[in-house]
Amino acid sequence: MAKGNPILMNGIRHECITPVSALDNEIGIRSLADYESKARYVPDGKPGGYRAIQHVLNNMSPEQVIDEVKASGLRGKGGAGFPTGLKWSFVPKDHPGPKYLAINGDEGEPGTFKDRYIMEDCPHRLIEGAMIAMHAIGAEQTYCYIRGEFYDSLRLLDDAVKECYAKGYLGDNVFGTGKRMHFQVHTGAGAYICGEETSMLSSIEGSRGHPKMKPPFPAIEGVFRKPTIINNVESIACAPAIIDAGAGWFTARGTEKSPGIKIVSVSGCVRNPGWWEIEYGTPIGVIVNELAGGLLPGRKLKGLIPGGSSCPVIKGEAAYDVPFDYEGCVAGGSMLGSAAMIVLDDSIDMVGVMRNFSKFYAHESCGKCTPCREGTRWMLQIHQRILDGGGTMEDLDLLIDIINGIEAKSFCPLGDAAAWPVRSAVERFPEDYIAWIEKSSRFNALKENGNGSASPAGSEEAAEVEAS
Amino acid sequence: MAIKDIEYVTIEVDGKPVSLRKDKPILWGLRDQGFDIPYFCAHKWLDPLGACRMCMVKVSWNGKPMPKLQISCAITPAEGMSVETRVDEVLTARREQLEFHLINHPLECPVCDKGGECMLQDQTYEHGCGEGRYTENKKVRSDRQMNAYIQINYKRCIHCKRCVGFTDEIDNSHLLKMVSRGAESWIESYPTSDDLPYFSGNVIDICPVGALTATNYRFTMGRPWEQELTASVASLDSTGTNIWLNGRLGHVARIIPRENEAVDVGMLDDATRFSWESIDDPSRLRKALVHDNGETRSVKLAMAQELLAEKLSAILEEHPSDSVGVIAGGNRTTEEYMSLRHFATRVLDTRWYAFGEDLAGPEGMSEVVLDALLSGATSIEHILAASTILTIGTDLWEEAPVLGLRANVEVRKRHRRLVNLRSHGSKADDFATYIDYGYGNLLRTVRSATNALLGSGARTPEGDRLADSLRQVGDDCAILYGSEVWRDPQAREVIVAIQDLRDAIRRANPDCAVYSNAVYPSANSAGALLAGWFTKFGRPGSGKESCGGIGKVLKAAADGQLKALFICDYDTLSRYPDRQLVEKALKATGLTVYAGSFGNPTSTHCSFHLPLGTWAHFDGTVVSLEWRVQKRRRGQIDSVAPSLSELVNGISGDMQRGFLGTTEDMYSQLRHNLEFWPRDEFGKFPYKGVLVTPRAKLNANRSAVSELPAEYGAGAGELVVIPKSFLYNDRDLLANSPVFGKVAMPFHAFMNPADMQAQGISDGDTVAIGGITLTAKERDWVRSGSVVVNDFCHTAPANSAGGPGFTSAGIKKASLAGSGA
Repeated sequence: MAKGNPILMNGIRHECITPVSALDNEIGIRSLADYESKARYVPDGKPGGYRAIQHVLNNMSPEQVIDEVKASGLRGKGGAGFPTGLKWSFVPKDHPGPKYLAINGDEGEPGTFKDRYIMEDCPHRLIEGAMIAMHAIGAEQTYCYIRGEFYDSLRLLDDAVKECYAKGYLGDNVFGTGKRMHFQVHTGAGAYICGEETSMLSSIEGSRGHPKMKPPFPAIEGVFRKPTIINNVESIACAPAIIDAGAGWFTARGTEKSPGIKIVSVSGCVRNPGWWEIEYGTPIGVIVNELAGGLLPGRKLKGLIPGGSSCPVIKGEAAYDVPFDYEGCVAGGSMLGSAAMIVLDDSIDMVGVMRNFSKFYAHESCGKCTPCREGTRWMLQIHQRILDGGGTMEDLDLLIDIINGIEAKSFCPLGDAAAWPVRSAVERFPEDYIAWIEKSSRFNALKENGNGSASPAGSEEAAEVEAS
Repeated sequence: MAIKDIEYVTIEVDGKPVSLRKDKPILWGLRDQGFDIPYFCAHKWLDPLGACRMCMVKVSWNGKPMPKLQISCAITPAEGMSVETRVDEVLTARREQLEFHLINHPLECPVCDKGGECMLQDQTYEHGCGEGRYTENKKVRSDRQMNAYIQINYKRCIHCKRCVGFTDEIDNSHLLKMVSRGAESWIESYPTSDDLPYFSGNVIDICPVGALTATNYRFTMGRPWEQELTASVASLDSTGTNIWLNGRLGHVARIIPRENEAVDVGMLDDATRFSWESIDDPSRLRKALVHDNGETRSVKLAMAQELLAEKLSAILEEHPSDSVGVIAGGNRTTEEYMSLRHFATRVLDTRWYAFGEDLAGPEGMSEVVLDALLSGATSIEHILAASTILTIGTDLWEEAPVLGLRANVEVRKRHRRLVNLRSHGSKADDFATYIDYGYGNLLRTVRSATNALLGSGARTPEGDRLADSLRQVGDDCAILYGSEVWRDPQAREVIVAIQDLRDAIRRANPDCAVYSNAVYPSANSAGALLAGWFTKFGRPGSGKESCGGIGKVLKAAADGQLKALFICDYDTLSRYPDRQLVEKALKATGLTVYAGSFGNPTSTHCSFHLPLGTWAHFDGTVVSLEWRVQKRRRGQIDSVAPSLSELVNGISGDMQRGFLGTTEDMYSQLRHNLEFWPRDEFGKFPYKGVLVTPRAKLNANRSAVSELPAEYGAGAGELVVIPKSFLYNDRDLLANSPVFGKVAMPFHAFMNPADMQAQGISDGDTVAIGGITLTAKERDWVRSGSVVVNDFCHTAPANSAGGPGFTSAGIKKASLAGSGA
């Protein structure tokens, strides 16, 4: 067991920002009905709500806020792990026109379900964080971009924003300080690519969700060609706690390079899938076996994806020892990504999984750049052909060649995201591919010998069932 | 923002030092210096997109390589940079990307019209892996028409999105968009029925594959390698756009742009591009027509010439001088104008010769106007580099389309200012400051703006607006003036007033260079000016000076002073503002001759109609609005199409008056007469033309006039009729190209919605304006109180909607029975 205890589900809630309550308080937030019955995160309802922003507005300069966040070592929670305080300091200070904060709540990565619970369960935490960030970068407007399918998140966050406007927390005179702070909720139309930051900006501007050329980087020229800081929902939601409890509270948790806490969402072949807030560095074994209840009886771990569908698969039970932080996951042969753990046990066929992943990426590729547009479709076609009984041994080399053409050569990270899991599957689980190919070549040989009526071991149905 | 010096920086490429422009992506510089970097989606006109991933190179900074390959279309060179273009990593990447490009491409090169000039074909040959490993099903989608000119073949499309970039970034038409996502996406077009395409043809050129092809070229006109390229110059407007005439077996098979970075950077307007079919159209006159006693006879040209010579000789015997009128027009070469002037002065011995498209109103040319036309002019490069571009009375998109397009691009991409002073809105006003002066009040507005800038004299609100926009023009200001100035009855005063405005801008902005260029009404008006059609020019030559204006010639003819009228390629009846005068003149003159390639209302009123070749039939020089002398070369070989020089030489020979000289002789005369004319020989004329600075010894003392003329307005219950020059005019070249038959030509009465409502007219109704009947179209760019009509429409000529000068007319719904027009 590595250091640190898991903080169950609630560190993100205001009541839990102090270490003591964070460890002990256990409030299940599962359904909307539950949500409605809980006390809301507003000052008159609970002590402490909007305390951090009032402290910031009255006592802290933007530089002090940025320094505090830098000191906390908060890293972007969307996947890349870029230090948030450093990012905030990139905004040109003397820019004459408006600046914007854009919050990325697209959360399209398969396996990830963390931001939606923040938006649904503690939207005020997000709004307060946005206000702190706006103060730090000198923006007066926030765009919160929510994935098109998140109807509930949209409705609940929108309600919270309305509540804030009604109480004067947002608007032209925030808390009577004379500052302008506005918060607009913007929905997407259900495109994965709009989770990529420049595509999200295009989408907010009303254009097609295509990624834009960098440089100019969004901090210099972002939405509506104005300096824009883009943060993940979870990163922004951490800001109030850091201000309230101090950077030291944050750095006391996690590892040296990945300090603080992180929400992990676990899905796949576990008894108790769900999301938990943990300290960075918690071993994956603890998360899977203690929080998620372990695998079903009699099953063994075949592979594990620590950071959502775009990360390579870690093979076998070695995954249990990997510490769950940025550096640990990279050392373990994968990435932390958006901390969406997908657990695959020995009943899973890797070819079917990769067919599903490829199908997702082929469908979601925006079509801008050639390798991603054509390569994802080609990968899907090859996987489908293998599952349909037409695979050959050359397909494995071909898949690797296609991946070489996509990886690090596509315009935006979507291409990489599509390529990495397949590469890991082909390289680490070749036996799954070979099994399909041998099965189909045996069948083809049988067919040539005149016994063509036999079916190839229910290939199609089997693949559908196993992959789902 | 005058033209700045280009900064260079030296970087290491493949181990060699290479000097590259600092402001451009390295792709262009490296390709220019012979490094073969393939690319599809990048284009010199467009912002880098980074979609095709073909141009990847390995970049290191101070010896430290970057972790990923970089696309060379998006990185600009800087100190400490080194680039590898031939290492294995790069070559492999190219092969991989090319394989991706080809997996859904049908590889139908043998039947594709792009074959032979296809970037994908060339680059596959150079960088491809030679075989395909793609065994799955390819994507398919059936073809469709993008607009009347262009067919989209979806299967061949490699999704480079250059065409989308063109319609978004360059012509702002947003005609093409990407639809759907990923591999299933395709390029969709959204043509609206009434919007004419102006520059859509450029997407054919910039398409790196055969996905976009011209409907009138595909499958019919041969392959690129079978065609002979002739470097020529476009003939529909005075920009001097450079073109290639692609000829096959002596016939022009298509027109494509010829890049001249000083003029057009490779852009071409649709009217020029698709007008090639008219050159060889069956309706072009190949024999002479003689109208005699109500009968029309088609005779051989030689016979008609003889007959005409006989008649002319008879007239000259009786009235040896000043008895014949000669009117020239159209888009002939300078040499042809020269020989026609020799014909008029030497053979016919007349001073009644004038150019059809007038430059100085009915009063004729004066030295002050000539000085104005010559002295302020600058090159297109300087016009486009100016920090403020002011257009007066001209719709650049219609009158000088390529220049207008380039100006709009400069305004959008490089933050120049464009101020348009005009009587009606236009597409050229996107991104521009548009000032409406109220048709008929151009002189008033320009003078008032001058007064406002100088701070003395009477002013008007429009003038103040114009002056306000000119108080801070930046480093330099270019003025362009056009059709509404030429059409003004006080054109002379307006041109002088523009020169006064120029001086006033200079005074309001010290250290500011101010240029003024005319956008001429026809492709070679400037050449006609140099050939002496308006006033004597250059070294004193033989022969009489022109009477000064077409109005004077027509008046003399109407008064019965002229015994014969020789009209050359100028549809006087449709084009001259005073239709009644032309009708009178044609009726009063005994012998009327029309020489031109196609029949038109004027030619049917004349007793002789002699055939001429079109602009594509012979060599000769043309002079553009920036005073660039360029050579137009023949792309069409045709035995029954004489040039104007050949025609007048023939007539002169038949009249026993001797030989006037060949085209080369005329060119030598021009070179001799005008000391600024290019010194190059006719046969070795430079392909990109020569910019000249015309000078004339002039006594051009002008005194600024500050008083304003009376305001012009429509009568009660009437609308001001604004004749507008459209790119798609019913010019001979357009009327006879079949492809234009599929495009809705703008022969409409364009009205303001408020006026239509007040008059109870709805969109699409037939309306009578003065003497013409047109379909009403609702357009919000028309100012309330006016109606815009096409200034040159055979079926409803604008000049019969009213008399000469500014006209206003009542407008009413025509009864259905009378709506035959």
